[in-house]
Amino acid sequence: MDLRSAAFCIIPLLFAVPARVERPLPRRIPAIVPGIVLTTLHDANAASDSRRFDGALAVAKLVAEVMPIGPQRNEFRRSILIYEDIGTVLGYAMRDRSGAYFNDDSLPGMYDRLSADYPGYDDYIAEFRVADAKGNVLYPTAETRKFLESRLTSK
Amino acid sequence: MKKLAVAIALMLSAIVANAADRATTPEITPPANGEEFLRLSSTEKLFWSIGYSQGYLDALNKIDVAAGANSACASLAARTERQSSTAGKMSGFELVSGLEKFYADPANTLIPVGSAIRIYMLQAAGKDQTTIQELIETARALGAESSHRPMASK
Repeated sequence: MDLRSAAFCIIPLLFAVPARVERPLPRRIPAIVPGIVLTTLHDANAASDSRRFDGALAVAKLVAEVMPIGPQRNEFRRSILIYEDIGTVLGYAMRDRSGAYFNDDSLPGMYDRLSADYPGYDDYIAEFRVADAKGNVLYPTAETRKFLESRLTSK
Repeated sequence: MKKLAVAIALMLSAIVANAADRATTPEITPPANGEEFLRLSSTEKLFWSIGYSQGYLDALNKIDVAAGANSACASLAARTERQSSTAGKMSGFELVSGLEKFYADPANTLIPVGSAIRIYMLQAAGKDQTTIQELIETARALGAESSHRPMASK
């Protein structure tokens, strides 16, 4: 094989590789795929498996990109937004030494954002909040995840 | 009649105060293993962890001994302290978080809570992974055995 023919073979591949990395999924995906991804996210959260959860969330975002525009995609994107919040809380719960509870020092702005974005969170979590010996108010991550998960089913 | 009214009022206020106490203090059934621990709410986990640790500490403090300086007892005491204590103090929040992480592994759910606490404390102290794994395997076997054993009659 001479140099010119080798160049003809390799140059298209060099252009094709980055494109394949950016778009690992085909433009059309079977209708069942979003459901499978959501089930994986649900199961990983239930098992407190943050590594599996992060992987599934990354795949879910890619799936949302290739879904056709419409109500199903909107609903899927809404679920992803809630799962992103669940992921933040789950990741903190599994990585931090005091991950069972959070406050503004450990997860800055999280409580305010959840209260603003999810009506009812404030009242729900009030029952479970505790104060440490210094009087700092802390909110449980387990109940926060439970509440966010309940938002997935309610509209 | 006046006395009766006062008595009824006192009784009613006592009932209300008792109900308020019950609302703020959860009734906790002590968990035997991870399955039962994970079923508790975060508040119950925290209250139970603090109560368990305080009771454990109080019970140990009832052992009234003092090892003589430079004696064989003193060196044994130092070795035991090194083997079983953590690098630093641990708060109730850290204990609950540690147990939640420990029991997140489904293979650990049958491990008794007492064993899980000891293993987590050794993990937090940076004990070598081989010893920790051996302890976990032993605790899993014991947990599985105790879950199949019928309850002892009282």
